[in-house]
Amino acid sequence: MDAEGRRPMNSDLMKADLEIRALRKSYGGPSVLRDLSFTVLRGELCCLLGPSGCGKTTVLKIVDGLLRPDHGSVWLGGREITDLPPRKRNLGMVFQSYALFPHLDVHENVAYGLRRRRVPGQELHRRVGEALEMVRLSGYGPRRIHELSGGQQQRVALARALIIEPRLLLLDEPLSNLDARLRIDLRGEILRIQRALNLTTIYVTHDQEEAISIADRIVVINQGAVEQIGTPRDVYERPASRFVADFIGRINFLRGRIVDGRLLLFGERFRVPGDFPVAEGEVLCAVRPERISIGEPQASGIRGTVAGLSYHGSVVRYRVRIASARGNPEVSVEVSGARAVFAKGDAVTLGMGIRDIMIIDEKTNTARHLGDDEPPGRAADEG
Amino acid sequence: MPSDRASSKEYLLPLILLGILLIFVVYPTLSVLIKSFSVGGKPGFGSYISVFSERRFYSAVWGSLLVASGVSVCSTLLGLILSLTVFRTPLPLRRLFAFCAVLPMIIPGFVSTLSYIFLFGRNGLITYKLLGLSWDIYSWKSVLIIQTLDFSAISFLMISAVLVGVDGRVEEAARSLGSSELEVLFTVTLPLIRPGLVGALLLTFLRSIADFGTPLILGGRFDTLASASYTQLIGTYNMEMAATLNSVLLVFCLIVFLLFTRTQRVATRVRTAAPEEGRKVLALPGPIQAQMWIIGFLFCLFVLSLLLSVFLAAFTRHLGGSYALTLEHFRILPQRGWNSTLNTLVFATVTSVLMSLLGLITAYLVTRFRFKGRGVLDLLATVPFAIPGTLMGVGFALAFSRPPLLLTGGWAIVIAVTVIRELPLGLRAGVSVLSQQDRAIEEASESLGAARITTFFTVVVPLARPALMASALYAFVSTVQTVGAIIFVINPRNKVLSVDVFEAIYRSDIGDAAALSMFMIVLAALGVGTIFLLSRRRGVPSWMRRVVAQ
Repeated sequence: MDAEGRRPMNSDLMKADLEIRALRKSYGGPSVLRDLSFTVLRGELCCLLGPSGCGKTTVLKIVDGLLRPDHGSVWLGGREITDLPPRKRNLGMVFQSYALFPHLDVHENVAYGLRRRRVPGQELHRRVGEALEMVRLSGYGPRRIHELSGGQQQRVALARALIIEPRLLLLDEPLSNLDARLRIDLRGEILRIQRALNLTTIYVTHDQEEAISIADRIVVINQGAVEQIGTPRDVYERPASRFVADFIGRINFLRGRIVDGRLLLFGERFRVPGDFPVAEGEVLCAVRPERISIGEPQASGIRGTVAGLSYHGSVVRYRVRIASARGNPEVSVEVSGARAVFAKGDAVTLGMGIRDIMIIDEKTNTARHLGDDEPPGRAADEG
Repeated sequence: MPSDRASSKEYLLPLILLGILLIFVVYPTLSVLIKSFSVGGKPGFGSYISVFSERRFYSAVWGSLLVASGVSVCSTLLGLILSLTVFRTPLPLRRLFAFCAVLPMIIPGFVSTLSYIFLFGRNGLITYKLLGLSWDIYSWKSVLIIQTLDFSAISFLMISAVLVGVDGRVEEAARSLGSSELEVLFTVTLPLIRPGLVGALLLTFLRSIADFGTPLILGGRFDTLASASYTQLIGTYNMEMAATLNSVLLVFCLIVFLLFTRTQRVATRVRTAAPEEGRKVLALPGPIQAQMWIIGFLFCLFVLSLLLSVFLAAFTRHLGGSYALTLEHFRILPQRGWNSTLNTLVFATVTSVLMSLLGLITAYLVTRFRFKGRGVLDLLATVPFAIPGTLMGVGFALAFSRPPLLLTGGWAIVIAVTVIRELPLGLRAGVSVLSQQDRAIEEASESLGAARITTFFTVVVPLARPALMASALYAFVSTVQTVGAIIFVINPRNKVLSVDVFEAIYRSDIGDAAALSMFMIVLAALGVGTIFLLSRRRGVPSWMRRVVAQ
């Protein structure tokens, strides 16, 4: 930072509302964050996605000022806030456990932030009323916290964070304590409010399906470092690493070979683009189950036998054993439930196209689509 | 909250607290230790040599250890039987059992001693009037009986706290695997409550060995370290010998305390899942249940008769002689009764308020901040629990009767000694609230714009209130009864009930003592009544159980 604590402006950075730079943190033991950086654009809903213990919540607490990083900085609207105490940041945080004040009723919970800001009585009541209305809890003011259901508590936590008109909304696994149906309802609710207020939001979750359905952009974090930043579609269809491919959705990892510049997979040959950086020899491929087609044995393609199947309502998953390949590998194939006609033991043929196959570089642990014209951005947003 | 980096401002409060503890815990204790290593004002081991060579002293060492061990085993067994009967059987009068089991907590130690003499003494209502016996009540056996009774309440609460936490489904699992009820008890229930049992054994040992009033009054020629230290100081003005006896006592107490903290650390790990609703019953064989019930019933009878006999003693002319109703013992009231009562009330209230505040602040610092010396702060605030009252009293008398800190003669020193004595209670209550509480609640407060001090008063204090109330009330009741720690430092003009009663008993003024005891019981009952009133609010009773069980 320079003397005024401002970054030099340029058109590219003006869009960035929140910037996280090279955060490092350890709680005395191994590092929790290892040079973690990303930016969030104004009005955007950005999901931090990763397995438990990957450092997501630590990032959120550093942004909120509840923790200080060992190294690195946090910038909000071009101003560094790394050393600002939480009360001077004006950010709205929704905690995983909701962290509602059990000794206060709903009204006082929501009003807490306004009372700290010495908002006079009438305005305070009006704003609490509005906030409760926004989360569809009008009339719940006098209730005690323990009288509310989990979903209602979650709404109170949201109202309490929103009422202070926060500069950012920080959500720490806000739906993880709710049952499946309620999760989907409240997800829509959060999205509606976030859009209505055009609020820059960080949403921490370990649920990849939730992240994909709600985020404008996803930051995939693993072991304290960024694995990939991209739109939900990018992250799902063009994972930048083996970890991302594995963590998000289901995927088959298959052994193939590069022979004479072509990929040989279960006897099928695929063209490899000239500039594709793989050496001759054994190679690890990844294919999503729903990108593989399954057909009658007389069709052309990879021959296999149905080793088992599981019914999931809308889809059916087959485990198909490839008898011709070494080690008799099994491939998982997912088809629409309506089109599932095969039974266990049936001979089938599998088909896949060049655009369905990713090659994983096991040395650098990066992934690349065989059919891609350009490499997907591992850190496309950093430029 | 940023607990990882502390600014210099954040060190101020820990430093102040550390200073208070150094002055009021370390300095008096060291004064006693130093005094114990001097003979006639010069350094020397003379007193220690006496302790282990003179019969009257080493018999006190052995006496202390033997009686404390006996009390520990007996009161723990009694506590276990009562606890199992109340919480694991369908037998009648369980509520009465539970009530009587905690009653000794409320009856001041002297009062049970007094009633015991009144009922079983040379002219005792039962031994002499009813049975025509004439036996010497003053011996170690009486000390054992009365201390067992007094401390069974601690055992009962401690064991019950663990017992009600045992997941009944585990017992059901044992049953479905083919265990008989007795096997369930011995293979599942008892092993699960072992931390409570061991804790009760150690804690009652600690209380018994540090108690000086009961052996002094009931022991006759039998002496313990605590009672001998009193006679050395008050009887023969031998401060050095008193200091030495207390130092030896301290060593035993610290060893047991160390073991106690160990077992309690294990206990928190063993604690099972959230207790289920409803009561779980062990259908033990009939004869065993009958025996348990009879023991419980006799115990209740004993406790209740002790309590009733105080009333009788207070309102009858002369114990052993005339049982005519009279109010003559209450003639002392205008002279000092009212005054002492008022003093006790104010002094115990001030103590419990100060203790809770100091305890919570210490607990907050210890659980929420990382700073150098945190462990020392925790230790110094906890260790008064293990320091015998008599040592504390002697230490305060030694340390604060001379410059640079001349405090004797006023109320300040009396309040200081009781606050420090009860501080571990407030600290533990605060620590257990804060360590169980979701830290995110305080983070939410900070995130919403509250400064840390605001968070402390708007979030931490309200949430800790039930636990603090419970520990404050307990401190109130125990301060009303305390003698050992304050008798050496209190100004003879500043009267409090406990010291009055003690002195009255000491000069065998049983009627007066009983009359004054009535006031102590009323005060203690006021404390307990408040607990019952407050217990309508969530949390206080369960905290009461936990606080007492610590």
